[in-house]
Amino acid sequence: MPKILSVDDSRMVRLMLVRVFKPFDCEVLEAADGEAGLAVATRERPDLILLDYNMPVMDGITMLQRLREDPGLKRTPVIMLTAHSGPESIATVARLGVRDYVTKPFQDDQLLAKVLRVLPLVRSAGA
Amino acid sequence: MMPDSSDPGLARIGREAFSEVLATLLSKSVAIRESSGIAFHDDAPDLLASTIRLIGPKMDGDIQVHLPAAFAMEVARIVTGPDASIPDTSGARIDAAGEIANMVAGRVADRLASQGFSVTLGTPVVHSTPCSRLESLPGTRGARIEVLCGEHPLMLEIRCRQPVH
Repeated sequence: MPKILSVDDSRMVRLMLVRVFKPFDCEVLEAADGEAGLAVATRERPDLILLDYNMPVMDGITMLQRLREDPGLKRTPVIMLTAHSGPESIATVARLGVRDYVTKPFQDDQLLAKVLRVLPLVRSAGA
Repeated sequence: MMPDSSDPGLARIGREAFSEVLATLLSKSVAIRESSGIAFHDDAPDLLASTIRLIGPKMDGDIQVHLPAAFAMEVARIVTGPDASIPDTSGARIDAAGEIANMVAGRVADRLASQGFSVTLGTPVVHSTPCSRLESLPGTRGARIEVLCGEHPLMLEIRCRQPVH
């Protein structure tokens, strides 16, 4: 079953993502900051990471840089979930090989379209 | 004070950002109407104020979103769905209020960037009543947008100034 790791300091946003992916056969893992996100990523080897930009302890950019330095995680696809998608932010994450970005708040369909381009998900039976 | 030619039209920017965020979060299930002079009491018992710094080379400032805690919880429950059953705790209210303000600030920052005023966002700081309001200092420009979202009175304040070097 595919694993999606949600790294966001807002529990509301993490639970929102759990709801969005509930109809699909996948497991949604959660972490509240970049440091915790790295620990979960190292342990669980997710198939996709949805990563917030601004977070306490370790921000999304630092986590992304650390992921790219790790031979076991450097190819893990990352989609940024950001409140602010200014040109500098986009350029920075593009240099770090981010697959896409989604501006918060988002419509479910808008997020799913971008995720499905990176990670094929199958709807659960009965969903 | 910034010259008029640099005026980013803060009121329009704030109104658009506020409306977009609320409409997306609530999937237009709640009527949003602009209002001025609504019954917005700064000392209401359940009011939260979430403040976010805007930091940029040509402009800095603050954004503050005032909202009732009950509204923050209503938004949290709508966006997370019935299965999440978020309990009404202080932490949940503060989390939701901070994230709503963060989303509004992000939309404001996007619009400021498109007008040449690139800014980054600070982390939301959420206070409960009595809410401290943003100060109007010399050289600042500001806007205050009040809306009614369902029955909930909400307010957005933006203050921007040129940094002193």
